[in-house]
Amino acid sequence: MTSTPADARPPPPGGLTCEQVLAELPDYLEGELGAPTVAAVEAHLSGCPHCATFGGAYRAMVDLLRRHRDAAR
Amino acid sequence: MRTRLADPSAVDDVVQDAFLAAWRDSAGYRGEASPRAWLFTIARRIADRHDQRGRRARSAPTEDVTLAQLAEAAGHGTPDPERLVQRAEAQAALTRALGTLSAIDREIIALRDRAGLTGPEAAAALGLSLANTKIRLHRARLRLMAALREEVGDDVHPG
Repeated sequence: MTSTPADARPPPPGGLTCEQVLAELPDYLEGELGAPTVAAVEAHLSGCPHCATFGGAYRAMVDLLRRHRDAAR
Repeated sequence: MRTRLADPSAVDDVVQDAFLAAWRDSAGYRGEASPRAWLFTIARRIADRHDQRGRRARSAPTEDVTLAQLAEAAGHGTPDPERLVQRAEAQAALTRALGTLSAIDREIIALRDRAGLTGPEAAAALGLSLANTKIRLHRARLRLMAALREEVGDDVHPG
């Protein structure tokens, strides 16, 4: 069986695609994921600079929103 | 509530009316939701009377773009998306970016990230399932990040 280019592609880091990690990001940041999913997300973030930096930015924006909330109290 | 209204100057009227309505209707509180979620539900109903545009926006479809498309607009794949958030530290930029969102996006961010309601409380106030509330919040935050990029003029190809 000949390999197609798609077959030759390495599996995504952590076995999750970037879009799957994006979907899990809010629950990951809130600590609402189970241990196996956390491990898969963290493996992906370790191997995908785009998702790692984007995840940091997403977290920073949520922190920014919440900081302004706390400052307004 | 200020971010919920198209006319922020109406917020004092809405809050006053909401507390008045809650006081009048306190016998109708059955303890199914937290008092905070119940009060937000009343305030939303009153805000809708002030803001017809909010009602139209809530019924608008929001699922016509993929998460990947939203994330790309919000800077996924750019060298340093965190920089845009750092540069948006000024409250004015954040307020302007929030102002570009639809009423439902502003409202869900206001409830969860500004007012500090839990997921179940926000879901009860919005009349949505918890799962739907989570998805809408995620998409609203991504749209806010995209709006912040516009506000701070983030260069996606620096150097």
